[in-house]
Amino acid sequence: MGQYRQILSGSVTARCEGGYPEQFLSDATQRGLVLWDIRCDGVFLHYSCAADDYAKLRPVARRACMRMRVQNKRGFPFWIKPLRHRGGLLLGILLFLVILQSLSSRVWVVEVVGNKQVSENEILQTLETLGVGEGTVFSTIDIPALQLETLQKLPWLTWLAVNQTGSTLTVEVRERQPSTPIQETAPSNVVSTHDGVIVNLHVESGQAAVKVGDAVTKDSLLISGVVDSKVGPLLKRAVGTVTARTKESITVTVPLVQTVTDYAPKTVEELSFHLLGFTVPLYTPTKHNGKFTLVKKEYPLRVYGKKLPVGFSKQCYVFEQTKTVQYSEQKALQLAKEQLRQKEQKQFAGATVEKAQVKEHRTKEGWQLVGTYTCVREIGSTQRIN
Amino acid sequence: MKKHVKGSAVGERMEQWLDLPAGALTPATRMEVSGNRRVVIEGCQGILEYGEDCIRLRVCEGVLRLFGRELCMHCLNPSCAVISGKILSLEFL
Repeated sequence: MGQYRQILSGSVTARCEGGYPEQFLSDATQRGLVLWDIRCDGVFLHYSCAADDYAKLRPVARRACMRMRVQNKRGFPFWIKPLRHRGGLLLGILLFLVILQSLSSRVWVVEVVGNKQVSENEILQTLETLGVGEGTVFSTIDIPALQLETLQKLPWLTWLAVNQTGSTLTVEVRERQPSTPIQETAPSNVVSTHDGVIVNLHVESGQAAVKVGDAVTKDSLLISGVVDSKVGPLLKRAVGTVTARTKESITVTVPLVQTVTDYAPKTVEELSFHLLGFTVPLYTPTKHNGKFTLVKKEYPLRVYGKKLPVGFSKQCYVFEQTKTVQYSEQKALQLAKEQLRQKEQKQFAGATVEKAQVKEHRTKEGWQLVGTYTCVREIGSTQRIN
Repeated sequence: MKKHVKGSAVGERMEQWLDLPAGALTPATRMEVSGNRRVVIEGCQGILEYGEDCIRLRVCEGVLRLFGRELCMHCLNPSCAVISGKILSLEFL
């Protein structure tokens, strides 16, 4: 402890010569001055004293007819003495301490641990709405209230803990286990989704309302959930597969002249600097007219894989433009065929196409393709009995 | 001086009567001697002689003389003096 005090207040090692060392020492103690490491070396008297006491020892030495000479100076006051006239350095040190204090009391990184279904972004956005994010002062965070409110806002989470480690806020979460779906047991019918002729009928539960070869329209009852019994009608869940031969058509029209929306080659990029939740725009703010798509990209600074609250972000405005496109006859027909093929794939997924006939019509505007199809598909759909 | 002697005599008697340690009621020099290497003297009133081989101190009992080799005063403050070195003798004069 004494050593630290000596370093902080500074100490001087000096040498006295001539005169009366005994008188010098006695006078010094009488005046309440503390000396240490007093050593007699021939005619010299070596000693150490506090830096403040050195000046007070001068009259004592004069009275004892001794001459004092400083041999060594140690301690903080002597280290900063050369820097006394360099105000900028002192200001820099002061500023550094202020910034250090300010930054260490704020959230630098928010880490989310233990999430699988609920995205990290969703949790971070919820925390942001509750006032916790990069740059939030730790002392303003009420952790128990934050945990409770976050759990209320995110029903998919069952448990949430917020821990502070240095400048990192770690959010540990446990998610709700998805429950196994309970099999539907409510009474229901099976009705048709398309017009057609029944080609196959397989009833697992319920009572068949049609037979193979019957023609049905859309929403017709195929398998009934109301089953007759000795005790009267029983309500059941109708289950079964009903396959029918259906006739369907697809129409595609491609005009020769079309208005197409496209992205303009011109884009506007705006760069911003981020520090602890504060954003400094590095661009001149301008108003953007017209239709555009905004693309935001973030470039945070990372150290050992950890995202720091310092970085840049770029906002890219991609402007849309409408233009008129003139297709040739051949190109329009080709486009129409392509569109028809895509529609076929979408409409007849899971169905078997037995017969297809496509007719091409040249209209005033462009090309029209009409496809007529005969296919076999499952037409049964469950409908709850109210 | 006479009064002081009288006072100290009364103090000594009180100490004896109350079975108190010597120096509890009377001014006395306290010394803590650690082998022949170090002496801590409490109640040092001044330095009469200071040298590598001999140090004489004024204490309330009179004069305390230390003989030794490479004597060094580790610390000196108004209440206490710490002397180290190879101490050969301690004498009250």
